[in-house]
Amino acid sequence: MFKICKILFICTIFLVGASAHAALELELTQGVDTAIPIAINSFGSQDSISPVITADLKNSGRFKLVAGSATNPSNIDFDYWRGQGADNVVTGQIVASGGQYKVSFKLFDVYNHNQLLADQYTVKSGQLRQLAHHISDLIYQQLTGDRGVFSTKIAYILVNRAPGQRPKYRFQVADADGYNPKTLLTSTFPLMSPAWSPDGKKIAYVSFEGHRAAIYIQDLASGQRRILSKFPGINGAPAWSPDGSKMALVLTQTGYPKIYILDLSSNSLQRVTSDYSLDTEPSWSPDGRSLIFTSNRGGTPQIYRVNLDDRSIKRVTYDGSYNARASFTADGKNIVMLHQDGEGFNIAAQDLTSGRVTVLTNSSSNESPSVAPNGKMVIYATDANNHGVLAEVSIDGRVKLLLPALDGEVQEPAWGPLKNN
Amino acid sequence: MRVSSILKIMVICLGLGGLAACHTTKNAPGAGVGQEGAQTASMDDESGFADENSPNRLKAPYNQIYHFDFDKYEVRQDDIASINAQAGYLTSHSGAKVRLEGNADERGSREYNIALGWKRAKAVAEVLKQQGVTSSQIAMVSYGKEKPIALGHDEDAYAKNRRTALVYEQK
Repeated sequence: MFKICKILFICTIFLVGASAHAALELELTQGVDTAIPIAINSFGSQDSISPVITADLKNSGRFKLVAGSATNPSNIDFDYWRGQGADNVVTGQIVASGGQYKVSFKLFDVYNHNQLLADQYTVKSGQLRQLAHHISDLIYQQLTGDRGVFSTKIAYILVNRAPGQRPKYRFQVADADGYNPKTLLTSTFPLMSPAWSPDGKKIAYVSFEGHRAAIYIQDLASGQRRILSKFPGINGAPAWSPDGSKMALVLTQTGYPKIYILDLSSNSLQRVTSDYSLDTEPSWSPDGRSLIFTSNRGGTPQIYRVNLDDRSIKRVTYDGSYNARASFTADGKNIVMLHQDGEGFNIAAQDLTSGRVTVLTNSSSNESPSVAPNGKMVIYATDANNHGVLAEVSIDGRVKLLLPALDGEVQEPAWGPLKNN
Repeated sequence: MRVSSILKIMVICLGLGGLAACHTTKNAPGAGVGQEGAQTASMDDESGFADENSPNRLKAPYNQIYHFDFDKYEVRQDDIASINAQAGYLTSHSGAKVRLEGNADERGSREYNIALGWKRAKAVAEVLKQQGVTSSQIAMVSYGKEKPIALGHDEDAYAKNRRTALVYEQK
């Protein structure tokens, strides 16, 4: 007969911080000696662009900002800039024009005098910061050969524990530099395991509303969400396939936590691992043909890889007593994971060809690594002065940054994808 | 020192989109999911109840907390009597229902700790079932390390957090 579904509508409101408002403050704590020396000139009198480009390039750890100022932006004095020690110089202009802004910039090679990049844009004032990040991406890619991640987003969980009160959990998304935080969900129940869809339009997460675990998928633009999985027991560790068509997840239908794959259009569910071990934290290879996951089937938690074509399983990690929460770099050549070696938990990278492990952090309470989509940086959660903060380290361990939250304990960062527009 | 950002919370009705296969859920008291017209709210009914030394250990129906040794998922011998007392109540009150919440200490990855917490919830469930309690009277959730009751970073805090809470959703 006619069954009335209790459809409760969603109107999660986005919290909009003021446009130049940071919830997390990015601080470079260690850069590299081989940083490219670059000079960024002011873009004019109401210049909200060059400070953002300057911070972006500096915080990447791969650029050294050179002081100096161009007296005549349309006629570059290359001898002057060479004397200042710059290899590259950026000039630009912002002109207010009929309620909008015309922005232009140029990038020059100081040694051969070549103009490497030039472009111009017309934007509204609310788009200026985003444009600055885009220009940073262009400069970064031109000079390093790698794609910049200055226009990407990070998701994370913010927890406030006031004495005598129930903890408050907020699921936020901010710009990669910590600015413009938006709250997607506020709850008095724990939230965990944010996972971005490959197109960056949705995020899956685990929530314990009503004292039960469930995986939700929330659309960022509309705030609408649906329950993906709410079986009895564990519903955890969602991971989108690279083509966005499937979700790997953890369920306890067999009585033990096992890895499953759910087809997002047909809703068909297939179990991928078996037996009585604790299997969790699935993560897809970039070609979508295998999953790495954490399992204690060998005794302590280690990383294993399952080939989805023939279901064969191979152990991946042999270094350290505890390896968990692994994910691939975009080129598929390395994994980044939580690693325990002796005392304490650190973030490590393992080269899948050689098996060599490089430990990237050196304190004792680090967790939840997430790799940037250009494969160059890892964001993770750590403890600073007994306070949960986010930090970043480059994949070679040489560049370090700290992102303390201004309001609450931050945990479980998830780096959003590159936009291909 | 920076002034902390002031976030105006404008959380409006938080509800759930219909599931692909809609079903009616019987909301047990304190377990409502996304009540209409209200922010996601907790009717957290297990905080502060169950004290290890409380005289209510052998009484039912009373919420309980059972602790576990490091890296272990076996119920401690001196908790068996308390679990049996709850089992006795459950088997004689078919409408009664408990929720077992498994927890782990803060070390290690979050989702792996969900799996560890699960084992601890399951361990208590097994004892209840051995005493004849049916699965339909037992709900299980693992909070892993997401709901610590002790916030320190030492062995004392770890020991307090390695626990399964038994909470009556319906008496």
